[in-house]
Amino acid sequence: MELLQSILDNSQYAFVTAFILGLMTAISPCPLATNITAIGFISRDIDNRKRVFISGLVYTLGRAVSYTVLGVVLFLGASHMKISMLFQGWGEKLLGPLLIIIGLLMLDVIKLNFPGFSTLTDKIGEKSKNSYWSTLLLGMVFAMAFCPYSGVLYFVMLIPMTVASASGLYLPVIFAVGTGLPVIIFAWLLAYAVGNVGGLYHKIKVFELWFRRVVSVLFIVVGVYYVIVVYFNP
Amino acid sequence: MKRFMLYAAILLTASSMCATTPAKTASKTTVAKKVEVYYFHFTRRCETCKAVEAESKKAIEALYPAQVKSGQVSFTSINLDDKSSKATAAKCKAEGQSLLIISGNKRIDITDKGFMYALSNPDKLKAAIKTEVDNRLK
Repeated sequence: MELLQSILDNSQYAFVTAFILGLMTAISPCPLATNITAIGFISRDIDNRKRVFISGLVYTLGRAVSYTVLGVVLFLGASHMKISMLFQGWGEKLLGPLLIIIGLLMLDVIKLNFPGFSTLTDKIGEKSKNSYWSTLLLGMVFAMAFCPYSGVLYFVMLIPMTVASASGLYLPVIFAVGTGLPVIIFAWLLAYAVGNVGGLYHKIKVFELWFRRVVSVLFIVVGVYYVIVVYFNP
Repeated sequence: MKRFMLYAAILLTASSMCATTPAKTASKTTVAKKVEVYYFHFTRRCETCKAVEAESKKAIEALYPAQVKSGQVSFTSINLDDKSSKATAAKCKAEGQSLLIISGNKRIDITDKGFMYALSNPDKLKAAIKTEVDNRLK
């Protein structure tokens, strides 16, 4: 962290600053939790190594979409105060319950027809065509969950550089790559290092079913963690 | 509830300071400028966030003991989740978590410095606060 800060201190280029801010966000406690959840989510397709890696990139793209849209909205003159207050005050509060609901949906406890969302009832092995959409959506939602520290990094440090001129509007994309980098690296590792193991499991459909259950539980556990941390403030 | 009471108390003392200072300084030939340092936050805070409050408060108390006593310089921490914070937040144009120096119509935002240095290099934060507050006190 200190190394990142010293780079940030001496950085001459806006894109370097944006990337470092993204990395600092990625390793701060709460985006770390969402990123771990995301790694679980995208690695459910472990038998298809290419797909896991692309999912990692799609997830990061989702984050980039959210950060950029917010940046553009602020650039176009939306009240910085209102938007910043809204996301910093609410982003985290909604995340916990949302994660629990997604987990329950994946476990089939709640039944709901949601486009692009594959649950346990889906025929195992048959991939939903829309599944990249759910990964993209996950990235977009997770990006919106601003925590106390990441909110400051985005709204106080990145946004002023972004909205200074139209040429700064690419910076949220660089920031998003920084925030999603751990997921991309893990997706790459899973795809090309652990991928062989996945091939072994390919025939064992039971593994996939259980892996999905594990991922669902991961969502619920992380969701419960957020609910406790945000609402009960230990 | 306890926490709420604490913030309410802080808020009350802060507002009473506002009311009393001009009277105290009126006897001097030049009316001393008031400098208020505000740290706005939400109920849930990160480690860095807590450090921002602790270090800024420490810096203000160490740098300006006399002015703090007279009420010319003040440090106030405000929880944006408390409804009572709305008026102050609007007055200071707080945009979420922030560290602001308010003096008259001037509003200086040093949130970035606060979050960059509070944990890793508190002396730098102290220096930044000193520069800005000194400028306003001139």
